[in-house]
Amino acid sequence: MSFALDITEAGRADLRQLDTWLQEEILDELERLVVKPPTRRIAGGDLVHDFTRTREGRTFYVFLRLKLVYTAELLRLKSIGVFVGTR
Amino acid sequence: MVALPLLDAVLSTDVSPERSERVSTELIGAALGEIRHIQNLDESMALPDGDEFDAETAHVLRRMYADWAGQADALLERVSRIERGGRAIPGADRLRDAYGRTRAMLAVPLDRIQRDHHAAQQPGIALGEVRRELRSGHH
Repeated sequence: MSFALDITEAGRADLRQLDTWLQEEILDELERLVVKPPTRRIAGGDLVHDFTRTREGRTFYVFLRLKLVYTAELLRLKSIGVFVGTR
Repeated sequence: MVALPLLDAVLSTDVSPERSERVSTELIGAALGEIRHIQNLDESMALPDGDEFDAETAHVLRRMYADWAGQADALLERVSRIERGGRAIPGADRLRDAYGRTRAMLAVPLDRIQRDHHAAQQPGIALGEVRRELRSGHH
């Protein structure tokens, strides 16, 4: 089953704060989640998904919180947390 | 990571790099086990439908993650010092990854998460629309 995906206003504001390349990476990752939604659910009920991207020697850790709306077959992005580290 | 002072003691007196490496490796294993334990607890507290936001539970769990991250940061600082001396520490990169993922999770504050929980009841903006907007620079 493939889900539709939308983004809350706050989630969109999170995206806007990021560099363009990372925005694109996150949107691409979201398109993958539409086909294969995350299964990890944590306290509070959020579905969560994290991934990393490396650029110019820095590692970008991205943590997504999503809500699954079963009745509408919809995933809703609620927030994006980012941490930049080095390896 | 109650044994972190032991690593400090070893680092301050050690004539044997192997001993620093062994203690570091042990502490890294403990730290990785601890974060997995916290994550398992977090997942075990999830409500099936996610309709209710349990602020107290969320606060307690967040504190656990934050405490762990503080201790992992302290351990990684010491591990990096050893690595700069030319020794590879097994598991160090796994710990850096776990630390980075935890910091990314903590990057969104709890009060925001609580607000999001209610706001997410309303329809959002379609993914395609957001992508078009960002690409066109209409912020």
